This record gives sequence, structure tokens and C-alpha cells, in this order.
Amino acid sequence: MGLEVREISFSYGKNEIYKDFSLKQNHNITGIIGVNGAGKSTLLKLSTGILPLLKGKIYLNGHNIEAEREKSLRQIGVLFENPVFPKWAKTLKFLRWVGRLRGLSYIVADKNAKILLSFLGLSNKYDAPISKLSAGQRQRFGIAQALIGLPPLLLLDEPTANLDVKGKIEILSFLKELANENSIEIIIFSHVMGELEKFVREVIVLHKGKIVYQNSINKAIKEVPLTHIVVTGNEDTINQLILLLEKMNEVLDLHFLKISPSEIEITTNNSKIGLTSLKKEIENLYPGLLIRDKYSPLERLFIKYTGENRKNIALST
Amino acid sequence: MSNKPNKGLKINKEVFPKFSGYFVILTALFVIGMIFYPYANLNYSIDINKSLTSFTGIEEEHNIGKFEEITLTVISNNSIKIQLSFIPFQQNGSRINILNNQLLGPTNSSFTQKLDKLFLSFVSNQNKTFRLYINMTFSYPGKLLLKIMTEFSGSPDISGIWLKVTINTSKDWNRINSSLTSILKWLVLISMFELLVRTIYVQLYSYKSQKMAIKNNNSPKLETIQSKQRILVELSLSRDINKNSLARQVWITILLSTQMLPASYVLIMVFSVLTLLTNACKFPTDNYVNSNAMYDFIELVSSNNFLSISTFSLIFNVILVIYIFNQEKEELYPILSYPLPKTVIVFSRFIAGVLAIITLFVPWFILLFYFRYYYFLGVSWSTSYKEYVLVSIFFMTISMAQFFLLSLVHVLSKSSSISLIFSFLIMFFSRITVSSNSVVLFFLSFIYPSAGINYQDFGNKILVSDNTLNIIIIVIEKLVFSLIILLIAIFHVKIKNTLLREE
Repeated sequence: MGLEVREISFSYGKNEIYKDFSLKQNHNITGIIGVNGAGKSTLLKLSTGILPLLKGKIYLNGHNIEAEREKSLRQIGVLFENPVFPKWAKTLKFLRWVGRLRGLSYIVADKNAKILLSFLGLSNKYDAPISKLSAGQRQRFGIAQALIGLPPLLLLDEPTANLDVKGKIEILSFLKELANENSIEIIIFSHVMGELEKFVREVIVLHKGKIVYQNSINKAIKEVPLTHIVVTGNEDTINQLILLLEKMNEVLDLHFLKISPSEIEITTNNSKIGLTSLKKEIENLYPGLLIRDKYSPLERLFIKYTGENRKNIALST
Repeated sequence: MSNKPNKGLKINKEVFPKFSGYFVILTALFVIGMIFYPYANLNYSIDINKSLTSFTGIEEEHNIGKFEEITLTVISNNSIKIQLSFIPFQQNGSRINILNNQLLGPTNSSFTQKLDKLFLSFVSNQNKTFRLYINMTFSYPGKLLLKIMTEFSGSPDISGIWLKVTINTSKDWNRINSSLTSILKWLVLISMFELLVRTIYVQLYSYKSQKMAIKNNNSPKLETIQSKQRILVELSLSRDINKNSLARQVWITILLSTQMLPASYVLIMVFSVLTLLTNACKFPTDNYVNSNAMYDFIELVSSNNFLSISTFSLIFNVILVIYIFNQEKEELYPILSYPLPKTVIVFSRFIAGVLAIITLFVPWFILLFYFRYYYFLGVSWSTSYKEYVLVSIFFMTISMAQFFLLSLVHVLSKSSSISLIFSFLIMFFSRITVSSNSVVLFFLSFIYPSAGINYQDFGNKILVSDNTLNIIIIVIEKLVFSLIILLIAIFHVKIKNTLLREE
């Protein structure tokens, strides 16, 4: 059942964030993407009952957050963006407390806490005060506290923040496994779109308090052909490529911008054809060149449906 | 206090002292205070009879009695506490008795003190009514100004005036207390400064740093896929929920909530208690003859001169307001997202002030203990102690009521502006109530008339400085004080709200 939002309204003073907003999760791993200020964090706070709703209802696994607060919160594990925990509390102890608040016995809470800390690379930090953890370690610790007790619905706000590339992949793949093997539903709120497309099964684009797009990730990716690529390589080869592109330009409606003598950005306005086949052709003709997509599919999707300035989009790392 | 990703933490460490830093600063302040406190070695005696001309304003023609000893004890630069041993003699050698252990009345003798002035009056038991006013203003390290004015009726057959002033502040606990008081003041300033600057700079910086990709993190290696499976299985096994009892949840909530107080606040509380402890030690333990300890007590706890109480009150309010408002912010988000019963959530808001409450109670119990075992030796329980307990309970009740009202307003009101307005009103009136001894006496004369408290007499004849002007000054002072505290809280909340919106 996951998260269901029915016609909610909310504002910070006169600043209206949501008006008659509805959302229903249709897949077990959903990514809610949007730039800063889109209302992601507010939605999370509303969903956990921290901010009061002015109107509407929110259900967590079928339980109303306002009418059945305790029951509905039992359904979820939450990771807030840049989570702050008691400064002097020690990691293992705090996780045990959280486990017990979630209804686990001391023994089970202790066992789960140790398993999670160990798995998340914090096994040597049992007695460390949380304030002494690095930002990345604190992020992992935040994930641990969301997971302890293994609630059926996980709400994670920027779960890969402060993690390096490797850590991001490890955490996301672990969560994916967790979701698939334990019937756990996960919602990820993120403004870093590039890393999500291989992980989520559904994408919701949130923009200025409204859903501008919602679909399965497979369909979403098909909707946005490749329109921007960046080619890097030998200067002579790049020059040869430019000559070739000038010849092809009449058909493909190409634009290219020489970023440096050894780098060129190619774009097309013809979104029906896209650059996928051109990319393959360049790869075949000039195997020495490095070709990368300027925007990930989710970023392209976001640009398409929000019209947001491309500079505003956080590039995937 | 806030979200602090890597960069924020780095700045924080550089600019603001952390827990260990506070200890270093405090230790340094304490040592400096102990070594250099200006009147640490002040200890001398003046025989008024010999050096009368060096004082101004003494009306020498009225030779009416004999003072055996006046002891002045300097507490701080700006205030003075005067303790008086007073035994007047008539010419024929018979002693004029002072009617001890009685509350003030028009025909009883008494004295009281206010700030740096001593007011003394007594009535002889031989139908020769006279009054002696001693008005002393002491400004250290400048001049000592002693002014004695007398008036009497009848024909007192008394000759000679002999006054001995002893200033004795050499006791170590005085120095310690002075240092502690000094530290406390600094600590409050440091904390308030820290709070404001942290709020502005560190949080803004944290917000900016959220946008930056952090690449220098250590990446602990995760375990293998095989162990991953084991983890999934083991975690799955423990999904069965055994519902905890409410008491256990409350206890865990208390543990969690008390973890949230910043180190500086806890240190302030510790130093508040220490300061109060040493203040309590400063009371005289010998040769103390006083007829109106009750009024002294009220004066003591309600006087601005009793720095610790006043400072504590400030600290308490600051902690309370800022902490309660903070609770709504992201610091408690993880806790608020845990499946706690609503009653526990409400309770946890009250828990936020638990440490503050403890420090609120401790001083009163220290005072009570002191008064019971030192101040009231020889005074029966039935006549006085009950009254002191009553006064203490009265003060505690006001403080408690302030806390509960603030919490209640905050819990009940959905609008932060309404909450702030009510918080301000509550804070203001409670501060007025505990700060003006006239107000306290006014209440006491109603709620406990059998204590013999006569508000009119007390107000008119003893608390001469507690006149309308003074009350207005007190009201304005408290108004400004409450406003400042509230502005700090609003400022703090505003910035956080802005940041939240931007996010």
C-alpha cells in the first residue's frame, strides 16, 4: 500500500507549498525527484506527522497519520536529510533505543543494531558518540536507524547524501535487495536524479508543489531520447568529428559547441530521432573518443516536464 | 544545535569552543577570578569612635546608644550585604532588649536590608521610644560613606556612641563564589553569543554545503553479498513487534530528550547550582540575631542582589524558550518520527525542561536546608519554618506554573505567533511576580494570613525603596528583559524557518 496522499494542503505562513495535492505510490521502490524547494522535505515531514496538515489525509500502509499516529509510524522507517541525532548518545546505545521504541525486545534490538552497524561499516564505532561520526558515517548511521525493526515502508530523504560514489552504489543496491526480498516499500526523495534511474521502479517528478509526471521508470526513460552528449579526445580526431557533424547537420538538426580543443558538446533539437544512433556511430568511427551523456534520463525527464533551467539540476556524480 | 555536514562541523570547531573548550575557558576564568578578584584580600576593621571625622553625614549630637559591632560583608563589586549584630546599652548599663523573633509591626523592632543599604529601627522596652536609622552606602574600592540619622522621643538617658565596622571577606568560599558568579555571567554571554552566531553562520553555511558533493569521505567496505543475505534473513526474523509498555517508552523518550541539550546549557545549570551552593554558604552562622528572618528571606530570594537567582531565572527562561521552540525543528525529527503514543509526544515536550526544572528545585532545597539547620536554630517549627516552606513553595509554584503554562501554550497553539505572544506574557508576569517582594507579600498576605504578614506595614515602613517608582523600574526592566529573551528565540526560529523553506 505504501504512501498515499489525498488532497492535502499546507503552507508556511503565506507561502503555499501544497494545495489539494494527491499522490499514490504504485511500485515498491519510488523515487520522488525535484529541485531544492520543490516540497520534497515538506512532504516527508507531513507524511511523518511532524508538520500538521491544513487539509487532506495521508496514509502510511493504510493508516492515517493523524488519526492513527502511532500505528502509522510503526509502518515506517525514516531518514531525514542531514539527520541530526543526540550529540552525546553512542551509536549502538541509540540504535538499541530506537529498536525498543519500535517495539523490539532488548536482545533483538541489540542484535539488529550490531548487525546493521557492522554491515554499514560502523562496527568499530559502537561506543562512539554520534557527534564524532563523519558526515558519511552519520548518513550510514541514519540509514541504520531507519532500518532497525525493518519497517514495511521506508521514507528516505537524500539517502546517499555525503556518501562517495562507491558508497552510494552499495547503499542503493542494498536497499533494492532489501525491498525485493522483504516486501519492503521504499520512497526516496532526492534532487540528485542521475543515481536513481537504476534503482527505482517508479518515478514521480515534483515541481512547485505539484506532480508533473508519474510513471514506471522504464516508460519514463523511453520518453526522453538522448539529446545532449559530450565527446572528449584527441584534438585532431575532434576536428575530424566536427567536419563529419557539419555534413550531417542538415539531417539531424545538430548543434555543437567546442568547449575546448579536445572536447565538444553535441545537441539536437530533433527529439524524435535523438542522438543514440549518432553516439553509436561515433563510437564505431572513432573508438578513441570518450562519449558521455550530458544529462541522465531522469534529468532529461525532469527538464522536459518542468522546463527548469538546466543549470538548476544537480548533476549526478 | 543544527545540521552540520562536514564543512559546517569544521567551521564550528574552529570558531566555537566545543565541550572540552568550555572547560578550558571556565577553568581559566575561575583561576583568574580566584587570583585577581579585587576584594579577595579585603579584611580590616574601623572603629567609628576613633575615626568619626573621616566619615560624612554622621549626626554626632545624638548619642543614644552603643553598637557593639556591625559586620559588613562584601559580596561583589556592585552590591553589599550587611549583617548586623546589634546590642545597645543605656547609660545605667541595662541592656535595651530587641524583641527578637517577631514579625514587623509598628511597635516591634526590626531591621531589613536592601541592596547596599541597611535600614534599622527598634523600640526599647522602657517606654522611651526612639528610632535609629543607619543608612550606609558602601562603594568599593572608593570611599565609605556612613550616614547615621537618629530621632527619638522622651528623654533617653544614654550617652556615647561606639561603632565598630568590620569588613571581612577573606573566606575562601566568598572568593570561590565570586569567581563562580563571574563565570556564570560569562557563560551565559558566551552561550547566547554562541547560539546566535551558530544559528546565523553555521546553519547558513551548512545549508550551502548541502549543495556540495562531499568526496573525501572514508568509504567503509560493505560486506559480501553472502553476508548481505544473512543480514536480510536475520533482520527479517526480528520484525515481530513486541509492544513496549508506555512506561518504557516514556523512559526511553526521556533518555532521548535529555540527550538533546547542548553542552553549554548543561554547564550553565551545573554552575548555577554551584553558585547557589556557595551563596548559601555565605549566610552567617554565628552571632546572628535577627527578628525578621522571614522578611530577610523574601528579600533574599526576590532581590536583584541575589545574583544567582536572577541569573538562574534568565538562564531558565532562555533555555526554556529556545529549547521548546527548537523541539519543532529538525533536531527532534528522528524522535518524532518514531512510533510513540501521542501522550508520550506531549510528555516529551515537557521533558525538554527536565534538567532546567531540576536546577529550579535544587536551589530552593539548598536554601531550605540552610535555613532549617543554620538560620533557624532555636526557632520552633510551628512559628517560622512553615512560613519559609510556604514561601519556598510559592516561588517554586510560580516557576513551575511558568514552565507548564509555556509548555501548554506551545503544545496547544498551532500558530507560532500566538504561542510567542502568550509565552511573552507568561514570562513577563512570572518574572514580575518573583522579582517584586511587594507582589510576593501581597500574595502571601492573602494566601496565608495567619503568618502575620502585614503587607501594608511591610510595604510602607520597611521597603521604602519599593515605592511606585521602583516598581515601575522593575516592571520596565523585566519587560525589556523578557522582550530580549523572546527576540532571541524569535530570531532563532525565524532563521531556521527561512532555511527550512529554502530547502
